[in-house]
Amino acid sequence: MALGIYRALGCVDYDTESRPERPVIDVSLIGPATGRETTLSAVADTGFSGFLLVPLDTYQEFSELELPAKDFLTYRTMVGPILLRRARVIATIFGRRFETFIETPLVGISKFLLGRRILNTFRLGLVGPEKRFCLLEEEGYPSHLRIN
Amino acid sequence: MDVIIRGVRLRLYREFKAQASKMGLKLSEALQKAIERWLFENSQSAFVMSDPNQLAFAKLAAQIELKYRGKYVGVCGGKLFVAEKLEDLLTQLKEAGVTRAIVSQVGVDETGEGGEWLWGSIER
Repeated sequence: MALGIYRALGCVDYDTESRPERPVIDVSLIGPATGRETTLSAVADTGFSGFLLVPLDTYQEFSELELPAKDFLTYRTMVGPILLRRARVIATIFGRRFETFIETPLVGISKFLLGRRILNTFRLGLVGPEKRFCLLEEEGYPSHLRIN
Repeated sequence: MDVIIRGVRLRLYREFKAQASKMGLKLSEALQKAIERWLFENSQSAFVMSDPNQLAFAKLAAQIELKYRGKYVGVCGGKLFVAEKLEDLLTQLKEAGVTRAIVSQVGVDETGEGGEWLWGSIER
């Protein structure tokens, strides 16, 4: 395992209304067909392996390019399998614009969650005591700190 | 609530009851699990049947798989749009005045297990 040095490029505050406080991030969503845009606040959720989970009303507004039903993904949950609808969108997080998917349950309620398929594309740090969620930049792996 | 179901095949019912008993479940608990499973298994096809664009895509699926592998394909109002790149497909959709379509990169967007949605989402 190599130990690296990372520098915070920018940080956002946790949602302090929630108990205990939780890391949230603003996500700009753009409908690929119409260019319509909105910004929403999503909880960073490492327990969700998907993309960006949204409530049905947001999904209906931005699912301009929905995938065929055969490409919807099934997720294991505590209450059994759940099938999520999936649509292609453009998103911007921490200033980076990329193509990704929004998802919502075919049946049942939903909320704004940022899953691991998106989280894992960023270098992120949870600075719990300060309640800050940071975008990191790698500064390198100094040889005297390397652990193999 | 109480439900009376008539016309259940005797052998099927006996097998179901025996299996529920082996698993330590009441008959009502086993039946509820079976209903939940059936609803889940059929939710996708029910959804496809209720959405005209999804239904049109499903009808064209075999033809699309055969002819357009690797390409971006869009279906809206029974019309098929095909392009090499997503941007080109979007241009075609915009020119046709389409703001909502079923879009797939054929052979790339795959179905299956998405993973899990577990503890992280559970709150008081």
